[in-house]
Amino acid sequence: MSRLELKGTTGRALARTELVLEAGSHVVLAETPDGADELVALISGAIRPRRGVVLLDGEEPYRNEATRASLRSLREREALPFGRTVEIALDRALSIRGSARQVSEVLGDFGLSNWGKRPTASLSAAEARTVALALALGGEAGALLALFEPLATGLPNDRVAAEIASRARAGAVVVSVTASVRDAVTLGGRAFVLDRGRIVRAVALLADELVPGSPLEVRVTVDDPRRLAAALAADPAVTATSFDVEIAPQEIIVRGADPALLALAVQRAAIGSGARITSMTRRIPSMDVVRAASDGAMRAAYERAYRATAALPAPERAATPAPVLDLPAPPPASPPEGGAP
Amino acid sequence: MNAFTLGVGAADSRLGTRFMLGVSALLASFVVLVALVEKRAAPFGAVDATLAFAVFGWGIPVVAYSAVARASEYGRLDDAVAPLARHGANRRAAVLGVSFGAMLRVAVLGALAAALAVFVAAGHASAGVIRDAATSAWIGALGGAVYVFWFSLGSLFGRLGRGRFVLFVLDAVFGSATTLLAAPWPRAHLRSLLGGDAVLGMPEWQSTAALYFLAAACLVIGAIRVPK
Repeated sequence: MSRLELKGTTGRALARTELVLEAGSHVVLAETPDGADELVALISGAIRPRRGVVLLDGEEPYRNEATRASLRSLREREALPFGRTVEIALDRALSIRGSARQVSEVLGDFGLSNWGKRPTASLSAAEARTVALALALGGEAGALLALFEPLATGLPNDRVAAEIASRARAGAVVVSVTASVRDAVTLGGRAFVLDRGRIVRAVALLADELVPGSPLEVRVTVDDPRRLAAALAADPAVTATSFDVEIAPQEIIVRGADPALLALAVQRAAIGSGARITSMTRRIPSMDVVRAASDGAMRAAYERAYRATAALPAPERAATPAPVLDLPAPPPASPPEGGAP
Repeated sequence: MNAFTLGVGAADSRLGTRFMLGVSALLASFVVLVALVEKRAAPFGAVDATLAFAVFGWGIPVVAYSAVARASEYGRLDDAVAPLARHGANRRAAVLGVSFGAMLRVAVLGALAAALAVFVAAGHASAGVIRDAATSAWIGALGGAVYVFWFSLGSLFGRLGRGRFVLFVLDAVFGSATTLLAAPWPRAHLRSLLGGDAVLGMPEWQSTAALYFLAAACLVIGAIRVPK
């Protein structure tokens, strides 16, 4: 079982970060300006932290070649080892790692067999990322996978998600960095929000955890939204419904507080009204909404600390240490949500 | 394949035939042009003037700078070996390999440019000129090698390896002197080897030793700076 530690790790975009990640799947919600790619580079030992250290099982990947050999990474911009063709470049990478696998096997596993003879110079940026991800997932399992937007390559997403989950189960630390909340939900595991270089929240990948206080929304595709909306109007589990016949004539958005009660209410209404449902998916909040929720959580923590301190007499107030944002421990990993009923 | 060999291979790949042919053509054109101008202006001092200005003054330093910049992918040299290091290659050995690969190319170019300058500026190929050309070629090879190690060390400092540009400028400024300030710079010792003003009155063998020492110091400092 591997363990990754960031101790006061500071980069160009990444602010001082303290983080301990045990074996399993972890998702960091972040965009490039927040330090998303830099985090992957730091974890994978590609760059040196400005301050602090990154430790994988007690060793610094940047300073230890054996530790780097056990890492698999995918960066925002990929550079394969030098080599005229993809086959030669990947063969070099595998031989450096000491891998027993053949390039043809690695590429073949992901249906990229015919890419082997391609000149590396002919690969587009997206294709280079696809090859790099095949290399990261195709060889022997490493102790750590640090992946930037793993579901934004040319490989099938379900296959990538399955490989990542299997590596996490096998005892590797998997850190996926993505700006897509939907991808984060698909990847599952423990999630962190990285905002402007700081890890501001640790959350569960559930809509009601990502955006606390906001109503749960379910998107229902139905043959007659008007009829279903009418049937749902009286249900106590439903707080609101909305639909726009001009933009999405077959869709209705249903809001409520409890996911199970909401799903049952939709089912009851469909049976009662005779409306025919073809799909029902939970609406996943956007990154901006998650960011806003994080800002709100921080503001609330600040206000709470301020009020608590302001109530104290002056001498005690002066002696009170600065408030520390208490990141709630998330519940255990849950399977991805949504899908057809 | 060990990391050093991989580094040499990376240098081979980055300093490919097209780049080397282009640099060689530019260097040869510059050297020939200056040699012809010098020969017309002062036939008896043309060889020395061409070597001092075109070959060792600008040619070799600029070629070494370009080669190191290219081998470092116009960034830091330690970052340039990241595609190898990320898979577990020894970063230090890979950096040394890249420097060594670049050094071999620039040393050969330096030797050829120095010999070319002697022949064109002299205008004939007598035994004395051939001897001069051989000596100059040897100094050219040494100069090329030292400059590559020098700029490789600079490439390990600053964002995008801008340390190499700082070293280039400092060498051009302080290397022209003969005082203590000139002692750490390759330009000053190369000038001394060509028969120019000596640095602190050092004889030629000491300047040669100083150049070897500079190259070795660059390798040692670079090796200390780059972790495995």
